[in-house]
Amino acid sequence: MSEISVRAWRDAASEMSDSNGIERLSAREARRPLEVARTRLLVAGAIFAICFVILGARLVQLSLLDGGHNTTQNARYDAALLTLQRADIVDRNGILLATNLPSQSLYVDPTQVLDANEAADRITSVLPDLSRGGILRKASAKGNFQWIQRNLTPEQYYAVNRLGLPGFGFKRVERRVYPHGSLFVHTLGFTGVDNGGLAGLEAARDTNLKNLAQSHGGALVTSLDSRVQHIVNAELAAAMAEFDAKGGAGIVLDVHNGEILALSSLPDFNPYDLKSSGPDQHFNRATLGVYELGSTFKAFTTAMALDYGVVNLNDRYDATKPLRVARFVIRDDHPQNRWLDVPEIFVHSSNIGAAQMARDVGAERQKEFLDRLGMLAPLPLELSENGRPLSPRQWREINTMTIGYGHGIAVTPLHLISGFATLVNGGITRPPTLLRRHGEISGTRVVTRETSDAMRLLMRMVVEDGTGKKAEAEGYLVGGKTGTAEKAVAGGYKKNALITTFVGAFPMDSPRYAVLVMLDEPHGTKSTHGYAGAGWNAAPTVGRIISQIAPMLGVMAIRPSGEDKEETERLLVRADGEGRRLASF
Amino acid sequence: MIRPALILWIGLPAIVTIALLLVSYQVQSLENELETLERAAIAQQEEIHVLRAEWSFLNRPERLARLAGRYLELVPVKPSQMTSFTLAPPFRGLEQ
Repeated sequence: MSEISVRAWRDAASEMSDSNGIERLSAREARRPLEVARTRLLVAGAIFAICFVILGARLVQLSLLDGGHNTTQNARYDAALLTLQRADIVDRNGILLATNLPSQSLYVDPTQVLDANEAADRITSVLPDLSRGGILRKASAKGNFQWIQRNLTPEQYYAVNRLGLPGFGFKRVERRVYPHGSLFVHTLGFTGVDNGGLAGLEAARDTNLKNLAQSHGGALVTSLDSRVQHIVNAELAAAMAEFDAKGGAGIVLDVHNGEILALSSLPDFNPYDLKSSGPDQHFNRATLGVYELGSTFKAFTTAMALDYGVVNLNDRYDATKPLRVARFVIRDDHPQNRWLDVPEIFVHSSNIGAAQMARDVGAERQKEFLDRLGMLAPLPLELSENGRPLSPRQWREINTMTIGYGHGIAVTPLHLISGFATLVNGGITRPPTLLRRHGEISGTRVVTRETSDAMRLLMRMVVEDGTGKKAEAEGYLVGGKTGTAEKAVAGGYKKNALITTFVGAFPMDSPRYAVLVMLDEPHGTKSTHGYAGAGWNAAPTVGRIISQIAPMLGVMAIRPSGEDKEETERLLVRADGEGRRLASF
Repeated sequence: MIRPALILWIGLPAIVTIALLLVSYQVQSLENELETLERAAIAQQEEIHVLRAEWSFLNRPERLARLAGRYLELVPVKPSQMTSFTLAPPFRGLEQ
């Protein structure tokens, strides 16, 4: 560059010196272009130098200082992960309960169809379920998009694709699949065609599931156990068939943290085919239905009376004759016609005794106690199907007495089992949940440790000597309470339409799981001598469930030998100083 | 004196350009490979996903119970079949 300008300047100078007159002014004038050129050169050089310095610095930054490197790497990593619209739902052992599977849906673009008649003929030849008229109408409709059939099977997809019809296309969609079919339908719920949750956990945790899927956050872990759920479902279905019941509910609950291991409501329905089932099938009896659950409430009355110190286990009540209160008469189903002490009232399920016990505690304290136990408000369960208990607006003495034996208050079966879990786990209430919990769950104390121990003793006695004998599962020290209630209908109670319930826990020396079975309108059979009480249908169902789930859940059985008796007696003595005497009747 | 500098200043950019070209081609082919692999990975993941669903479907407790009833002679564990180390008699040595 500089050489050229110098040469140019020389040329210019020599040209100038050719003409004489101007020769004198040369030196200064001639140096001007040179100076201009030099300045320009400097400026241009400086600009280039700056540019190169910037480029160099950026090069160093990118290659050595790791600038912007990670972000692109992460984006790539994300792109290499399968992203679905909804996260999976798994059970406590990681078994898949609900997932999204890719599938193909067939659509038609009517503007591209050549011959609608021929197309309809050929489509119906491979998809015989579709009507020819329907396809014809869609293929000649206005607009440029019509669904023909959603979620084709791979064979159907292949067959339609092979027809090679112009105007017909496939769209990749996702379909919610429940590998276990209807086993979990009342807890998981179902989704609509656009994969939005419409019932159960799918609806209650809708945004949660969508966010989990977007962030690759894994699956929604529930507290359910598919093995336990299957056993509860199968035994409940068998009991419903045997006793000709129109419905039933079964629940297994961990008494220490409130996790629900199984929740079953029958009849159930097919989550893929909602049209073939009615409201009765869709109704969740375990969490939405509220029932007067009868004698099972005597457990709450007894615990309440013991806890407030109104009675002790040796106190006695007059049950010689039906009790008259205002214009009502309270009778016993299994009349003993004598004075009964507190354990006898519980074991023989005496309405008269329980009503008097409740009256002695008083309406105020009863209401407060049931409130603390969670019996008066909906549970904070992760479902939209969450029943609100019915309790009297005005809590009069007669209400207090009837509620003492479980009439005049209606709660969901889940309320009941949750209350029982509180009574046997040492007296601490923890809200039931369908999601897996980690770590220690803090709860609120409702009854004292001593009351809880006494209740364990009383519940064990019901199964050893009382109305719940058939709930025994050999080796697992089952305890619980039966309840047989007439169904409430407008203006009174329906004779012969019963709700029978058995709710219990095992093993009673250190309870781990609570189990509830409720049957809706069971009937007597030959083998039950025509009786339809809870002791004849709900109790044996619980016994069968426990004998199957206990080994699965790792509950150690007590060996059926001489040790058994000893073990039981140790339990009874430990639970209460008076144990030996109480165990003797 | 001018020649070597000129050759250097013309040769260097030429070499750098050719090297850049080669590197960029290489990057392009690697990127294509990466994309192919990513697509394959997604396809694999989808396949695994479907297989997991099928696994869960085939392992339904109801089906397993039915098959076990037909082909095996297994029944639920009885309490008499269970024991624990704490209940076992104490170890008294090999002589006995």
